[in-house]
Amino acid sequence: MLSIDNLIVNYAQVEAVRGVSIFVGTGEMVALIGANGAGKTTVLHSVMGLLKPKAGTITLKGENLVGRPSNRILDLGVALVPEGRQLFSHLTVQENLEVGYGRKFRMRFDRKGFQSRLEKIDGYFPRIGERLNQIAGTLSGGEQQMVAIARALMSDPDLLLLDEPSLGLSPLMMDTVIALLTRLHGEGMAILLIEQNARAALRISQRAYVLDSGRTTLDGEARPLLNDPRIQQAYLGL
Amino acid sequence: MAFNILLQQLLNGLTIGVGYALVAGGLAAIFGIMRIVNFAHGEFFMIAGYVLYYGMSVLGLPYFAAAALAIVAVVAFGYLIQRLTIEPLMETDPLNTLLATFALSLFMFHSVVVISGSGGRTIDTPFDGVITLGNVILTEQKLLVMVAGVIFLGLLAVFLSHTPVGKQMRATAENRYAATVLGIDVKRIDRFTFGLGIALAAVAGVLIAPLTPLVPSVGTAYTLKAFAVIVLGGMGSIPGAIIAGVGLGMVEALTAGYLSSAWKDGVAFLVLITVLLTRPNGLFGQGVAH
Repeated sequence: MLSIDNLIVNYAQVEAVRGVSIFVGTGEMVALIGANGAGKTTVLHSVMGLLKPKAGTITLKGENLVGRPSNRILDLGVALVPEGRQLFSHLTVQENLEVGYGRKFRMRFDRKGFQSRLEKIDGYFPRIGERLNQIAGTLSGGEQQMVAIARALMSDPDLLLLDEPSLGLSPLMMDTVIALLTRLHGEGMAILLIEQNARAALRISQRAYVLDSGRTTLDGEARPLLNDPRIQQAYLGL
Repeated sequence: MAFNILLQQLLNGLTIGVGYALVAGGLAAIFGIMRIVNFAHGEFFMIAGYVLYYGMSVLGLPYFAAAALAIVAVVAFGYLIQRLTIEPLMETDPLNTLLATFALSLFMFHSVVVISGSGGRTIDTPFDGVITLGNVILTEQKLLVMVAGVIFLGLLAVFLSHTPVGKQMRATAENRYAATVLGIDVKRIDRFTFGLGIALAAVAGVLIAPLTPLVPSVGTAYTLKAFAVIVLGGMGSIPGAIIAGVGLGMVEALTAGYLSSAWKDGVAFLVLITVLLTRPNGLFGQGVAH
């Protein structure tokens, strides 16, 4: 599905990502873990077309993504849940979801299609239906994260990128997010997950990559990595 | 009698205020979405007035046809300016766009002085009659300003709250990064916003230019007033700009009516300073990220 090969990304003169290669198979959940500043978000932003890599290739289902604008990448089936939710807090929940509906909202609003997509989403987040007319900024932190994920799902992506979805959430809310990701993965969605809670990320993912200072230092099956002493010491606090 | 004077001043204030609201609403949209301080905004108002004047006097067009021509011409000119000068500077230091619009303002002002001279021009519209309601007098052109202005502002409100493009504009204004992540073509939204902002200034220009002698410096005067209005309403808030614009027009008219017209700008700025002392982000401002 997604293939990142030898990606190099610079911010001014600083190399943020130095030759990272990541693969996410169809329907696979892959975790990307690492300390702050390791280059994880830079990788996701490069996939989404928000940053132009200096070198390397990014392909989705064989199609080159480098140099394409974000709206084209979204149309190809990639959606990003950005770090910190980034909701349009002055817009209603429904308006947030409409914007997330993607091309069919931007070009010619397919109201019927939107409604049926909304019904599908309502199955994942039963309380969203009751909150459609509420201003997004007045929701609780957990609810906002749910709307942020729902908004990304509105475009019906094949690959979902998530940047620290559990950041700032209560343990209970975090469990809900983890359960949701497990369910989406179970239904066949490919997921690339950045998560500060490395233990939770490794438990639900099939494979993982560990990034350090812009380089991949470890990668492989998630379960063995969970028991790897280097991971335990650096990211699991053991 | 006292009530009639008050009503008269309120109607005068509404006419001035609707003009301010149209110009400042466009300026607020451009600042709110593109984060551009458009010093040339009032010049588009002024140029719309001149195109109206020449459309009627040289081409012999009727008022509404000349007004439509002026709006279309000014929007086309504004689109060209945006693509050629502002868009290439958008990703650079914000000071560059500020200087560019300042330069454009000077260029537009002096171009009109060279072409048309600095003397005043009067525009005669078919709405030169006077409507008398008891002791209250209203010219037909002022009534047109109020009715057309309110219709345009109402259409703007409906457009922003109910159409996909309007919602994308509001989303982009609030969070440009999230808008890009969600596939909104923010460059396209910028172009549209600039065109819409300029169109509102042009609408104000063709409505208000016939009320007073048209001079090239009217644009600069409107730019300054529109900035006062958007600061008062809250930088980037379109509803704030509309309410503050109408409010400021009322304050000016009441001051001119009860005190002296020499005091109207002074009192208007006193209101501005008082509001800012109590609400530094303006009436509807959310604060602006640096």
